[in-house]
Amino acid sequence: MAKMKLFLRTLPWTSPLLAALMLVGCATTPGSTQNPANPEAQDAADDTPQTQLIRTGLAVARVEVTGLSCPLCAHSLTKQIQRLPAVEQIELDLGTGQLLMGLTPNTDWPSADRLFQAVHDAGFTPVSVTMPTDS
Amino acid sequence: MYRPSTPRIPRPLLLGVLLALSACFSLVASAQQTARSGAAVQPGKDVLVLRQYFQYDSFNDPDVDQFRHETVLGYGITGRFTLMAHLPVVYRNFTSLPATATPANRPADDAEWGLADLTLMAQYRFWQYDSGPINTQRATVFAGLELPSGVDGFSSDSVDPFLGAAYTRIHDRHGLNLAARYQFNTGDTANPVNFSESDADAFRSEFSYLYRLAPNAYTSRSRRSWYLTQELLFRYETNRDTELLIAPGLMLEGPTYAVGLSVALPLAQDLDHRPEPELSLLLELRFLF
Repeated sequence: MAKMKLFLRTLPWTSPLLAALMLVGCATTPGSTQNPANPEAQDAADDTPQTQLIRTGLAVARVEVTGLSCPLCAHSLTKQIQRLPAVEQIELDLGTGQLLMGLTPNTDWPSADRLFQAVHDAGFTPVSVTMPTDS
Repeated sequence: MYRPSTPRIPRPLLLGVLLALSACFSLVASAQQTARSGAAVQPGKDVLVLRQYFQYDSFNDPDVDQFRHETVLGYGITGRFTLMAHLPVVYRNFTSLPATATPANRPADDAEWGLADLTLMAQYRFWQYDSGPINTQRATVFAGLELPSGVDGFSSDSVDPFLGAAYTRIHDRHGLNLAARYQFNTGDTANPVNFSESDADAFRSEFSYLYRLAPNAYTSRSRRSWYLTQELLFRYETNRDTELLIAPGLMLEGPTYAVGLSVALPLAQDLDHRPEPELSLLLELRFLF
């Protein structure tokens, strides 16, 4: 005989826990790291991977990307870009969707179209590309 | 009632081993896809994903303890098209005789292990809308074949096609996945234990929600994410076996790896052709190459 058994033992503790976490998460505003009263702290905050890349002397190209989803998903993008010629260093900011590429100076750089295609191949949407002014 | 001659492995010991394993691997890390549910996410072009599942299941009526180790390989042919292969190895310990057992097909021993049927699958993303650095909506269709391993007690000895669709939405700290799959089964295993092991067609519908616990917001320094996950799994077979499971869990995700741990418990079930699940523990490791 077919029997229908209800096991509602898990709902009372899992669902309220999730609901509470969602409320807390929605109410949380990301904190600012700026501290104008302390220049050293501000310098440290400004010492991002992007600024470090610019200091290396490489030519820097920038692509704005959307739909990055998560760190693991975004790694597919890094993999695609690493395969391009002249790309020496990559910095990806998941918060802004900004991808910075350090390109070897005085070499043939990948074209903007090629960069767009690499982003598509990774499964994401490129919004804009800014190439260095000279090679 | 059939009783084995060899002593049964104590369940607390099994749980302890699994938890110890999960503690070891928690140092490593997991994506916006939960372990048990389908999602419209896939690797990019020429990217390989390796997943390792370590699963313990406890059933009653008849009593069965089962360990399942499954290797899943996914490879991106293009940014939209992925091929996947599943290779499951199963260990079972029957501590009472299955209702379906006959002198001809009863388990040779109370404990047995073998290679279960293999799965080959293709997935295609037909729609995508990216509205922010993180935010995205995607939809995929997929189809595949379950191929017989030929191992007695674990294989259906039939080629069973399936098809389905999945939808994913990621918005800030919230991830939502919906998936449905229908499998046309033409053969069955000797003593079905798991969903879709009988010759009845099998339909599954899965819902999963992920909440990003940390970080609050991504920055240029973000490398890892923690997620609280909740899955709701509905399974129906055309022999009228029906079950609804809930599976809360935790997931950690890094740039090249992910680790997920979840517990599945039955909310409702009406099963006449296979054992009733009591508890399922799953540890997933995911690596990107």
